[in-house]
Amino acid sequence: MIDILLQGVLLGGYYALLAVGLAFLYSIMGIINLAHGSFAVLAAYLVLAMTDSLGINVWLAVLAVLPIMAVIGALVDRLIFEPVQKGGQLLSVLATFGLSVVIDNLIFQIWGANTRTLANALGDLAWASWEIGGLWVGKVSVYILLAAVGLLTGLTLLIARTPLGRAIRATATDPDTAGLVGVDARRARTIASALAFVAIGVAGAALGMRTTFTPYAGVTQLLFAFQAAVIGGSTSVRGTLFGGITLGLAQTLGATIHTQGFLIGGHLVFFAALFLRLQFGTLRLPKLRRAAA
Amino acid sequence: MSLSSSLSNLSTETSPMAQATTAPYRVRRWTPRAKITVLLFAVAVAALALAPAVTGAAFMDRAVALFVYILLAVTWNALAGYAGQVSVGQQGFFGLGAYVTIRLSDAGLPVFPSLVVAALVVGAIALPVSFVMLRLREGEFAIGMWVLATLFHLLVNLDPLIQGETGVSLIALNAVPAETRNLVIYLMALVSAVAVISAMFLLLRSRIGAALQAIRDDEAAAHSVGVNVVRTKQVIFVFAAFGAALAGALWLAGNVSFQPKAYFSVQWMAYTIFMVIVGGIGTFEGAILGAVVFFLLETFLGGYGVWYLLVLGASAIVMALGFPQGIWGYLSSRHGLSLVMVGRHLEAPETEKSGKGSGWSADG
Amino acid sequence: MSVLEISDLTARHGLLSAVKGVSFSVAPGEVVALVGANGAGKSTLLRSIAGAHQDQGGTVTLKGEDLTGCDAHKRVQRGLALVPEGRKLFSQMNVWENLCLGAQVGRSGDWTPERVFDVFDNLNKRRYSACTHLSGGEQQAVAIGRALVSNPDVIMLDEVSLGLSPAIVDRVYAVLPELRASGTGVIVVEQDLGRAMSVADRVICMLEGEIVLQGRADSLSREEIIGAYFGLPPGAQGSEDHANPAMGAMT
Repeated sequence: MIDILLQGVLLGGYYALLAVGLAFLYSIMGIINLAHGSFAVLAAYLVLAMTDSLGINVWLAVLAVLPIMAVIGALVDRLIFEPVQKGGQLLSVLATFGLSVVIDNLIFQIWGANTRTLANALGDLAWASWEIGGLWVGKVSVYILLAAVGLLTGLTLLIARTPLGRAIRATATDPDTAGLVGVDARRARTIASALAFVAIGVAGAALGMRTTFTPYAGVTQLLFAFQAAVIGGSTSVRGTLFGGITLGLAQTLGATIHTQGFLIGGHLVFFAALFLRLQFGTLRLPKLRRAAA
Repeated sequence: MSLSSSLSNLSTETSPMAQATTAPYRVRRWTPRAKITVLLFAVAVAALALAPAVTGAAFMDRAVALFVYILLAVTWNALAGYAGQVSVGQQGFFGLGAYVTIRLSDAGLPVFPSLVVAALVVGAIALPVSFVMLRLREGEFAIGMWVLATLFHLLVNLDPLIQGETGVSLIALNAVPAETRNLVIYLMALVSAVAVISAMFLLLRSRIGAALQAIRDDEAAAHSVGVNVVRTKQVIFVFAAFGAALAGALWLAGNVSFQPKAYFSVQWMAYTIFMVIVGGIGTFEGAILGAVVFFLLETFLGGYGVWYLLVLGASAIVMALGFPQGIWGYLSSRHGLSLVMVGRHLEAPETEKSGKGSGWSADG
Repeated sequence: MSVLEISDLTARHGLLSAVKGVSFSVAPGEVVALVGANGAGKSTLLRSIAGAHQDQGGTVTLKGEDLTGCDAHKRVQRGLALVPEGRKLFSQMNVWENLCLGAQVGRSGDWTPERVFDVFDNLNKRRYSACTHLSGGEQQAVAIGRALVSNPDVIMLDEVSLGLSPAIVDRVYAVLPELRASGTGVIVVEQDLGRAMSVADRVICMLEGEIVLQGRADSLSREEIIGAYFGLPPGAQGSEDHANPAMGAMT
């Protein structure tokens, strides 16, 4: 039983990592990026391409992919998020969904239908584990959990404490007034988008290291990210970690009950969280976390 | 006379001519062109109904696909374009429609009625679901529906009858001779498409249509003047679920085998969204036009597989960015083109003779 | 010899022409009061000068540098700041953060967040309060402080006294003499004609998007301004009931 809980928490670390980019982008722009999962999978394929074809060390490959993701994030902001936002929510949902279809099929076209993983590139580490009181804990899972905590804390501090963070928050609340105070609102939101995509890149690398992926895995990743974000209910460090871990626990527990229970458990907890939230009034993801929280 | 009293007169569907002597303004609900369109539509339907006499099974097979697309496009357009709730989870109802058909048929219900009953059952399921889901907004609603669709998928997989992803066939269909089967399915699909289009037409011309118009313009304002926003959206939500389920049931009838993965696939949403965006979201004619465009593209380009899907996704982005009003929206804004009247034209007495409504229009 | 030059500025709201070819200039250390009835185009004019109004024409020159076509944030960086109508504070940030945001443009000068806390000393104890918890006067002080810390060459104040008690307004306007001494140009939009005439060196009166009267504050009579305010022909005296809206704020 303790083993199950432990596995659930570690899995939750991955979900928290996955949720960061989605929740961050939503809190800054009010856009729910339906191509979120597809971009995470794209990042995994990019890392794979570097390690496989170029023979680069996997960690270096991840470091190289992150700036690529940042550039993609900036481009997506200028080409899609920015123009689409003027047309309202309807268009942003439609455009990002179209984007996910494009990315998924592009990945399929380039890398084919085979199931891939980064585990081979990790070598022994992929299977390495620590023994703690008779339980075996995979090193990769622990690293992913630590990465989630690190990324969330870093992003929170960046937003709460730095001039760039203030500029991003000002832009998120009122881009017009931000301009009157000397903030380049366009630049701030493009940087925010780039940051969100770096987080997506980290999540994609984590996906590839802990399990396998296929060109159409983005759909599932999007749903997991969204569920973790909604269960967590906020973009604060605690909220996102809580959401991810709750989802992870629900799935792990569900899996012990029934072979299909892994996903069903997650979905049910998601709807339960949604229902509770509707009952208690705070039915939306908060637009922006408070600086002091 | 005030606008609201004119509108309330209208709801009784009396001829506008009867009010002309008392009201300085009057409301047109029909134009000559709209009457001709309805007439042409009736002729086309009659022709399609008689078509099997001269065409073969291949024609009927493809036509069923077109009718299924029309069902999906028209009902999703009602939900996203008119009620403003962009769902990315209608494949859940599509799959449920097929699944419930199999269950009903397995329970002994004759196979053809079970197609329609299945859609009604799914519509009934959608009602309680709407209470929770419609409280979500925008992107949250979109993904929430998506999660719901995957939950339906997983729950259906739990049913031993379905045998997991292996799936099962609508065996009862095999008892019907192939020729009869094709004809009945074709006619049922035709009738379903016509019925859903007509229902949409009547819905938009009813009080609900006016309420939808008000909600789309300003939800808070609509609420404050007494429009029951939640009830109106629920009606559309159930209508859309029914339409998707009917589409799923008919698709099953055309293809016989039920594999959950294929029916609960988000691909259906990609297709539907493409149809409605290209045709013109929030326009009555646009959804139908989009379904026809998609059907033609698929017929001629479907063989290109992944590239075809890439083009679909890319066109959804390009349309959303550059032409959010779609083909029909573009035509009607440029040329004042409107074939049917789903709204109301309010006309000042001086302009009553002119064909196009000058002044105030609540069309589409 | 002017720090700011506006030439033939036009601005539209869709089909409506809100500002129709306005030209004037501001000298260093000069305080210009912009008066006119509601809808005369004062706020649109200020927003256009600040680069925050999209649909505009004409030129804006600051210290000889042409700012036409520059985005709002670039104009702030060059030294042109606007305190917008309605304060527009970032309500999810505290006082200190709002001021930091203004200081972030990186123009050196006398004004720092600490200096703002010195001048508006009641803000000092509230520096980490959320802006929503401040009184109207305190919020206005933050809004002005946020513009001052960008150390502008020209600062524009749009209806800063709106909704504040006269005593608070006095404190808000107390900062003007210092700005004047440091050579900063000031444009104020002020509904209270009496106050506008007392603080300003020059008064510009707008009517329906055009300048209908301008002159030194001490050379114009109240009657002349009120006449222009309502578009009365020169010489016609503003009748009592016409005058009331403008004069009301003084009593």
